[in-house]
Amino acid sequence: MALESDLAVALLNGVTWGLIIALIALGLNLIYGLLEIVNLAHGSLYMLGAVIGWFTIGATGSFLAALLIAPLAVGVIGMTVERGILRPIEDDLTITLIATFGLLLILDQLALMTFGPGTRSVAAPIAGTISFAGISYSLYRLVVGGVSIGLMVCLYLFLFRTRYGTWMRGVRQDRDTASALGIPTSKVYIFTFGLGAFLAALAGVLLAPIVSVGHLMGLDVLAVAFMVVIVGGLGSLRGVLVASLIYAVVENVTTIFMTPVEARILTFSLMIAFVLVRPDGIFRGASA
Amino acid sequence: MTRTFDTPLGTLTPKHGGWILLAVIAIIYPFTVGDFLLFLAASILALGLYGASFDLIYGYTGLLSFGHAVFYGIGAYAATFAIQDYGQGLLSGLIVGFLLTAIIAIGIGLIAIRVSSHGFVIVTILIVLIANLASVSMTSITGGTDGISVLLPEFTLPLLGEYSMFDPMFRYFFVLTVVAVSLLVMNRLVNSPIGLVFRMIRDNEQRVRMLGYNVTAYKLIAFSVSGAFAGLAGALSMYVTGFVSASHFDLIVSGDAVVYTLVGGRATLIGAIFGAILIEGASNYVSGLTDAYPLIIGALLLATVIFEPEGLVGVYERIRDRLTEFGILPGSDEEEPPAEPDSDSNAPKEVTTDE
Repeated sequence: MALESDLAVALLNGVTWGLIIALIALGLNLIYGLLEIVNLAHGSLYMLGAVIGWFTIGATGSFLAALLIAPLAVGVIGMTVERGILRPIEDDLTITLIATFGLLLILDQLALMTFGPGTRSVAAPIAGTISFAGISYSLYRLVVGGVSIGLMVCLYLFLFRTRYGTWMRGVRQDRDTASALGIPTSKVYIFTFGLGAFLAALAGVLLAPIVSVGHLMGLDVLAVAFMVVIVGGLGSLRGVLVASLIYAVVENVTTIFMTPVEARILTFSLMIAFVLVRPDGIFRGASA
Repeated sequence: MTRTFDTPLGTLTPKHGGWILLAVIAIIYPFTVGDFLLFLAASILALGLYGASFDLIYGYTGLLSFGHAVFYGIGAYAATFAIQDYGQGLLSGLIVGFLLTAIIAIGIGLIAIRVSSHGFVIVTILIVLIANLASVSMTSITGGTDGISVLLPEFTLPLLGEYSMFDPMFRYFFVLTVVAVSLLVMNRLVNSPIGLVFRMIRDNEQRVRMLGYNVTAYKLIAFSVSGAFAGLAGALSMYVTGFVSASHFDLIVSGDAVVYTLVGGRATLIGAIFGAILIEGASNYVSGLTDAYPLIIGALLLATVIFEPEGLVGVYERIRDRLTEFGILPGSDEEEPPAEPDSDSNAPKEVTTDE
């Protein structure tokens, strides 16, 4: 009986965690798919979201304010980075990768210097648990899962139902033709990077009450996000969602039987083994 | 007219003057400084070798491996276990570090090279992270973040007696010898026909494939040789500090190799040594800055990729060309005969970088 309820909680944890990871990894994959930039600083943008959110809550006492301010601030940072640093060197893939690594070091160190070492906690804006079928589960986690689904639906509608989304997909398919047709490719690039940063930071604020906030939290998530992007297929949005859910459920369920570190080593090794079998990801790197 | 000198290592021409000067400086240096600077120099040389091993895979073959910390750490741990648990000497410790890392690099390479070029980077990053998690959690074997202090054995030189790694002078020359020999071997490799294929893969992989070369095999050779030298550098740096810990597997240690190579100059091997000297030397001197070490590294990386992608060696070559242009330095490369095929001294100028 105890095992069954543990299992149910682990499954629920896996699904909510997978949804939020998917939100971060989707931003990463959007940036990769459109700009062909492997953004190693993505985890740091997520971390910045959580840290700026923590400061905002401290200053205003409102979680909602953090949810609005932090992602916007990080989005602007992302746009600035794209325009100022990555644009001049965007032709060389490995060079942009190295640049984003430099950015990772700078952002993490700046966070350490302003936020200090160690971790802080953020109180969940929604307290309480919900009980059903003999198990009780944190209401906030359910809300986070729901919000993530909502955001992903919005992202889908934006990409496939709006003019700007069509532009983005057009630029991705053929940048030169898109440019010739009058699509402002340069603006689309800046916007995409900003959107990716925005999503990462939003995930950071949403996760702040669940995980401990600190300057090192980006590295953990970076690894996971990259793992699911590789397993899901570089450039494949559908694959990322599926891979995130599988990853998170497997890791959370195995945590019942072993320590969290062992569970992570196991899931990472499983995913690398998967990459050996299917190097192009679940859906063979299919687009969209 | 250029005068040439025949030596056992090949034919020396005036353009090797810089190398002879460097060698003389490296030999005179220990007699002019104190123990701490000697320690610093030995540790920087080991890190420089680590950077050069990364340059072999990135600068010459075009594969951006962010996994070099794994090899660095495995080399250090392998030498530690060989010495402490199996009573091996200093040289066999190095050999064990080199060979074991080579084998593991082949295994990792078989996975990483299968994935697309960006996937390669990410897989190598993930392997570092797995190694880091594993080494932090398996404290009984690795000592975790507290690490292991290694009791290094004495080293017996024929006719010269016994030496200890705690003797700064011996330590410096031991490291210098290993690094110099490694650089010569790596330089020989990158200027061999195999090395030419490496560079062809970097410049146009598709064409090399169409010419009938087994690109995967060549990548695997480059990856494992590079990994093996990173392991050697890890073992060597363990000799310098007498200490190894799970932090050898940090992602930032992987980043260090990238930084040394980029700041020094890609596809030059020696550039990584200069990069290590500049970065590690500067961060040791400016004590106020060491607190913000990652900040400086990050800023240096950004500045390098944006303003001077060819690094320090690029700056040096630009200055040299300018001086030649104004007639301050005699002769230019064009007036000299093409490089002798039997010349196996370090000669980064001969490396073609068609980027």
